[in-house]
Amino acid sequence: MGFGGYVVRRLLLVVPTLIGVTIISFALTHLLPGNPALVKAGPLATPEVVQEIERSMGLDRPLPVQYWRYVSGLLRGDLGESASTGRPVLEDFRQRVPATLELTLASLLVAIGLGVPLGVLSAVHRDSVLDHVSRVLGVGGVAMPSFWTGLLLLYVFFYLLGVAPPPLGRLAADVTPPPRLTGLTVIDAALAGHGGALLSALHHLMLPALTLGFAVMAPLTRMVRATMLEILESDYVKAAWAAGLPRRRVVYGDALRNALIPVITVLGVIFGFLMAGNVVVEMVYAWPGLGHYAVTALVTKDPGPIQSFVLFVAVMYVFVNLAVDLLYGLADPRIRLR
Amino acid sequence: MHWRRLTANRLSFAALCALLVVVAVALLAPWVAPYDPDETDAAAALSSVSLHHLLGTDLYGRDQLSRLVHAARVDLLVALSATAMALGLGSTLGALAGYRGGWVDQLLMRAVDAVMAFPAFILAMGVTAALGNSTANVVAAIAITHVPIYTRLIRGEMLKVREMEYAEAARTVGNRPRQIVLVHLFPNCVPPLVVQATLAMGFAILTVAALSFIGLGIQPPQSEWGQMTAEGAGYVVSGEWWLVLFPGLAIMATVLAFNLIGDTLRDVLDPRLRGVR
Amino acid sequence: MNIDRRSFFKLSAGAAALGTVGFRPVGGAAQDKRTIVVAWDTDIDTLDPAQFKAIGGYVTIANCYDTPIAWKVQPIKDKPGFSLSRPAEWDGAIAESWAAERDGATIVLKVRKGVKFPSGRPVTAQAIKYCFDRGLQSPGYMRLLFPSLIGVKSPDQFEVRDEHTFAMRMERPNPMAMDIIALSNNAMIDPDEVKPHATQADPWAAEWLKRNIAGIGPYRLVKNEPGAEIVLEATNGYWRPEPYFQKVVLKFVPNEADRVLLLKRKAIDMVVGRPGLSPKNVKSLEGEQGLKIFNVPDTTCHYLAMNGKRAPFNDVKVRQAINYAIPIQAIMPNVLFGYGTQMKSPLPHLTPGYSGNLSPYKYDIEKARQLMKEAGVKTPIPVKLAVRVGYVTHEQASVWLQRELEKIGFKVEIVKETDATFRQVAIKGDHELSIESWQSWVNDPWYHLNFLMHSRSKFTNASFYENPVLDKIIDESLAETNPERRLGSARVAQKIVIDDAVWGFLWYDSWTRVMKTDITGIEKRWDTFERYYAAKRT
Repeated sequence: MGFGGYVVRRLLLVVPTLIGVTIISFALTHLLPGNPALVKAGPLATPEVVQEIERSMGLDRPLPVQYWRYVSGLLRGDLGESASTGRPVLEDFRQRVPATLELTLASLLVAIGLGVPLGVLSAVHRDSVLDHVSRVLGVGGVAMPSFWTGLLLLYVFFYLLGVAPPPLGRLAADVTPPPRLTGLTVIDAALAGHGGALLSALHHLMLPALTLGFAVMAPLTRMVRATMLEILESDYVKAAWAAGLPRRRVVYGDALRNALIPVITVLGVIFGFLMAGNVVVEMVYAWPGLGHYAVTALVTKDPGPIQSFVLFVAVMYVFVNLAVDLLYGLADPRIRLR
Repeated sequence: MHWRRLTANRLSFAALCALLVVVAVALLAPWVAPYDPDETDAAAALSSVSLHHLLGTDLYGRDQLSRLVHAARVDLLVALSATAMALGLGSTLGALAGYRGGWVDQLLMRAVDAVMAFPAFILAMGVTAALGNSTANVVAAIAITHVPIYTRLIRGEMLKVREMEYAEAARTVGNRPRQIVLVHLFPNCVPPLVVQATLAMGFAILTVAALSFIGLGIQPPQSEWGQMTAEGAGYVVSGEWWLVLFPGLAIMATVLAFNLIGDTLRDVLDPRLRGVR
Repeated sequence: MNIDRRSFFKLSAGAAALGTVGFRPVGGAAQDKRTIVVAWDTDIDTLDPAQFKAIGGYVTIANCYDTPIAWKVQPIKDKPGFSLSRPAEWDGAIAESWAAERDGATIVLKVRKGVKFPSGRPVTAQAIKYCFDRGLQSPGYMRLLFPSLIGVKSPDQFEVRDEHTFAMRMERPNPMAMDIIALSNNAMIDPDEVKPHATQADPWAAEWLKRNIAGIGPYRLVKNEPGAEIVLEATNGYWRPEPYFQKVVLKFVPNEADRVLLLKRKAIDMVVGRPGLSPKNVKSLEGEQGLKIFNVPDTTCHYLAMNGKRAPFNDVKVRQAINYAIPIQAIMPNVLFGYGTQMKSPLPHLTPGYSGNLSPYKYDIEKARQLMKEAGVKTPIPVKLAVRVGYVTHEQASVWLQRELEKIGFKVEIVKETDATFRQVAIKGDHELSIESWQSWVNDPWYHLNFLMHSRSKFTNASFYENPVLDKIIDESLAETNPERRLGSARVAQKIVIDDAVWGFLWYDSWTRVMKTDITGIEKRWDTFERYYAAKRT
């Protein structure tokens, strides 16, 4: 069973999962109380108008038929329409997904950049004060509601100190946006060579990425710490020390490198946290991504966006986990045999 | 045996003590709280920390300390019941899947995969929006998102035990397989289950808090830490800092305690398990 | 790759340094003086003037389209820089003058000469007829208002007399007609732009107009990014002088705390919305350096709807008891912080015909208890009190109400519902107690009472009140054209409603805006939405 076979097997497993995901997101929106046709019609509509809309939305057909309409719509790219923006959901998504993606990636970098050193420190100086502090910091992010952290950071760094930008978007008002290639302002600005836009984009990304990164890094810190601990206790490392290799080189060289491989498995979990945390952090910083769009859709019982958002997140999650599994399978041959 | 290890680590010991304090306060809430948590007092509205009101009052003049103390009950209860529900349902499903194997196993695992495809909070958001935000529904929403972990765990252990069971059955005569399964299943399952459950408790509390921030949390006037923090967050900008600081600290301390204890339990009981959540 | 400790820390330090690179003091931002930046929390859901669902759409329409006539505003004596609409005062906009015929049953508008659409085509009476025809027949708000309020049921009643003369022929004279014409829903659309997009199934191009603006107005919509911002720019060659603000930027900021911080740091010029800022936050911004507050009493009514079709709320004594249990003396300072007025009548206190001395209700728990005893209902009575999510003052008032209602024998559960759900449950008649709000854009007592108290107003009469005597009074008064006789029955009508305790009387809102001190020219019209044409920076 080579790596190719492993890939095929993993891909095949994705299909039933995706089907299950569409069923769940369909069920979710149908459990929502209230009549989506009434929402679309507005408060002043007459019953005839509402019935008309119900017919056009297919709400009078039996459930399996509605499910089939839903899935075939998905495959065509028709995700329905949003009642609060009046536009096709696909268009709303196209506009907002890059913002969420940018925040997610930046937060991931922050989580790795903070989480890995903290985990290493904690492992290397086990049971010392440094260990305790690192553990509290590393895990602390997960213990605080991210809206709390976010608002406090905003209050301190924007309002009191004035070093963070106002929560009004991804770029300062007086900066011309770079031509849109990926939708990720930082990358677009870098590609176009706009130094001012690049700095402004990073500036605006700073606090939200810090808030979200801090909130999700706990599993990473834990994993790095645990793996480092195990490796540091291993015979191989002890032998290296006994042989006289400098401790520092062993710890931060081979040990760290080997500790980072299992970290890949945690990335899937962290991605889940990131997607969830996005919702809250985007609201606190008025970041124009999917988060607030989804919350509004949920609160106003707008079925098109809700289904699509839930589906989008789930599909991303499935594929990220797939990628993680494949990466890990590449790195560790033992996995493929299972 | 393991207790010494647990208490030797000072941080974990501190966490344990903190948790015990929270539990005690929650249990003794009606006696510990100086005021009725729902008693309004227009004259004392929005007053800061003082001798009369140790943690200040809110918009309605309700004593924050009393509300915090009573909220401890709700939060711990939600966390406990959600975790218990998830444990019960998840273990049953996992045992079923592992024991029966075949298409039952496949179907259950695909279903579990589908549920796991949603980040827990997104799923909780969706379920609460769909079912409404009564306390029972919030508990159910959180429980649903935790079921997959336990299912997978128990199923894994089940699969291992089945191997052993056949070997034993070959030797023993007349012993029912189920008896052996249970006898061998439990000791192996308890450590990872305890670790997961401890961590899950912390998660449950945070999920409720985030749901409250979006408006899908537990209904007022029932005080609940997450709801108090979410509401209090808005008061930071008008200067009533005590409304967000204390509930936030309560959440932080409790969830941190759960996490640290869970970590230590993992170190102590089964160092093989690391990283996942 | 071998990382040794030194380079490891160098990398971390580098990453931290990159973070500080963006540090730059904020405030005193390089904001163009002729741009006004406003924060709110709404999106444009539709740009079709005939529809009205969300604020975002309506404000954009109000700023990008002219109407035939508009509500006039007058400066306020002790509030420099602010203006308010007075009853029965209008300005000509697209119409330069108007006249009445048949004792006011026909209104004739004279179209201003020389006004052109952006396409270059002149604005004519035919264009006005198209707009009104569309309003009457395309799905939307005007399709309901025209027939029910001013008796216009057929497009034949919209006449084109010549290129510059348009007439609206109603069945009878109607004093509300001018106010109806002034609504921004009667936007000046360019028919030749819109007609090509009409289809068999969609003869009024509703789908196209939902996403596009095609008409004449002081501003054009240049950017619509839902969830981020909306940008309006002054129209070139507009028929009136150029506005001061060449650019209006409406920023989407969902979190109220953020909006407060933005104001305090002067990163934006103003916060708008309904209400945009809760009274608590407005109060906390009083006296803030560099900001000022514009506050006027307004006509939005906030009341406790008691479902008259459900026991025990069908018993007038129970309803009166509830009115004596309303802790208005706690609500005014602790929920409204002074930004509101106590409600003493179903009519707003600024509406002609208002009588403020008819209501006997005040906070008196003993009297409330006594009335409950007289009613003879079995206590405790479990009841749900529904409020809408996000309506901060309603949510807060409900907590105070709950405490008091429990003292007189109710077991209250507060239920928070979203806008859509709330409306659906209310229409079905499934609410027991709920906190509702209503604002009449036409400041006429009978317009108001018709929607709120007439038994035929199924969607808006939240208490399901049915009183044939009141119905008759309303019907007769609606038709009455003589201004004095029209108000004659106002007192009687109010007494009926107050004695019957149809509502739990709560409060009337104030219209409040917080802005930077250098902003002036803010005008409040009857529909409460900002039009930025007259705004300036001093």
